[in-house]
Amino acid sequence: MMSDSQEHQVNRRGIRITVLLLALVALGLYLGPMIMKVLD
Amino acid sequence: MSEHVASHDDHHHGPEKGLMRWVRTTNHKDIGTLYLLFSLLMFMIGGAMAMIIRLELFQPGMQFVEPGFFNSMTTMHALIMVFGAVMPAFVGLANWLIPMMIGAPDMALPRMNNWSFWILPFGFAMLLSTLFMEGGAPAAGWTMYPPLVLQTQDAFPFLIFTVHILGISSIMGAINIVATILNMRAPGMSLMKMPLFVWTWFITAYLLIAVMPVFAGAVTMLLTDQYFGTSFFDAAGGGDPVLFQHVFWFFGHPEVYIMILPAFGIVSAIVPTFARKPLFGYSSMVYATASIAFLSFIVWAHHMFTVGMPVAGELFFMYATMLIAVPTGVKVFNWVSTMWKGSMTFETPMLFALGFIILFTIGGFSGLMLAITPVDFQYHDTYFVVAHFHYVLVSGAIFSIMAAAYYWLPKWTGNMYDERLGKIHFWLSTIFVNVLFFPQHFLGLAGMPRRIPDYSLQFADWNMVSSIGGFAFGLTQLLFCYIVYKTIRGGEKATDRVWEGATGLEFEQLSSPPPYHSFTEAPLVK
Repeated sequence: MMSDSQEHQVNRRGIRITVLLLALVALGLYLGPMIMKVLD
Repeated sequence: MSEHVASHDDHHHGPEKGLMRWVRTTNHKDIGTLYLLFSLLMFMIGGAMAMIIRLELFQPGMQFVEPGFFNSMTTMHALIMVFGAVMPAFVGLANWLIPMMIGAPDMALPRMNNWSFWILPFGFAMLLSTLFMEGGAPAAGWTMYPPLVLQTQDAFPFLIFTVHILGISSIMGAINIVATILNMRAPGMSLMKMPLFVWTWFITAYLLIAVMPVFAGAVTMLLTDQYFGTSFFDAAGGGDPVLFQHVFWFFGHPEVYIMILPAFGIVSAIVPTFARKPLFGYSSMVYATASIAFLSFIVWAHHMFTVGMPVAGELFFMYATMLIAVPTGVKVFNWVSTMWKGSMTFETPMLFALGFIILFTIGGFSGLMLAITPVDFQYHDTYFVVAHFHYVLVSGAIFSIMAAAYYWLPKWTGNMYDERLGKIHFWLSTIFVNVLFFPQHFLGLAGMPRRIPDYSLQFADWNMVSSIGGFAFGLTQLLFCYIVYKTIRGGEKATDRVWEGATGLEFEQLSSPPPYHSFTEAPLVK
């Protein structure tokens, strides 16, 4: 797939952190309105 | 080399053979192609539904379909065009172009990319299957307002599940795009050197992540209200149906910009190429895009002025909405300034980009009219609204997608499209899209309500004109399918740069067509 010379530009940890943070934001936005309404 | 970088073998390979290539592919170009072809199919299905709508509205009185089926057609047409045609087309373009534009070998998460695409056909198969169900397909409008939507019969859970699938697909796609842009740019490709198309998609992806879960949450609450005894939107149980409208439009308004920001990126790529000048005001374009995205979150209630809000609320949403005209005006000014004193030529992509600028601006102006609260009380739920958003979405978003297809098809296939047919396609589309939608302004101002299968006699003439425009516009798009097919099959060979004035990594450093795995060696961006 990718050559050794290109590995420097694929920051796996960066990708994982980005995905985790964005997925958490999405989950919060999905459940947030429901939880707020239930607690209301 | 730090510990957190990946190690890969240096194994190069081409595509698999046969059908499994498309099922199992993790290649961004293959997945981009799948998205684009799927979008074209959905465009044709949604377009066929539009033809049924215009056929029924050709004359006053009930001619061809039952009122319930007519309502299903308006609902399904909107859902299919928004979620099946426009959004997947832009995701397809993102898949094809973003890695090539930033010098990356592929998307950051190629397997998730495959999954993002392949759940879509199942989602739409479920949605389309409702046409054959007891009680018919969903008919309460794409906005799904309760309590009306709760009258949907067997189709209801299918509608909700379809929305969830489309939402999951969009969120996965958006996360992939953000992760790719943040982590996989070539050395030297700083954020402010990225092509505008990448920038607009970067911001669009954040919008998607912010609003698709909210939409999914809203329809989940509809589901629990219907089947699990909750009362989120049921006044009898202490809920509030207007709450749904607020939550829906908190999603729905940014959704409008999700469907137009990538179009701005496309036009910002095409205009400099055919004006043979660099884009005027690059950084102001980036900031204008970000401003539009920010403002899109604080204008949602302009869709619901008539529900009875406090005057302060109506004033806030009116002024906030009008404010969007400022960054949008910056963009139009920059495109015009780019063309100013340029050595312009008018190949098909440029024609569609120019058509976009003029016709989208007309849609923007009618949007400003709708933003004026007291005026909106007259326009609300009339054909004026239908005319407005079709100018923005058809001669806006879809024209930009057509422009992109003509602009990058030679790069993707290695073959030039037929310029004569392309120009015929542009002129027929432009003439008939105006015949189709411009009279709808008159109908709306005269008071014709939207989403009705029959109407008073005074609306007959302009409806007939609009329907004739609709049929002709629909037929013209068959020509587009033929041009795409012909280009894929062969034609005059495209050069690597394709267009004399083209810039960017995909034109300057990759062949036409590009290799299956591009940028296996990272390019250096100066």
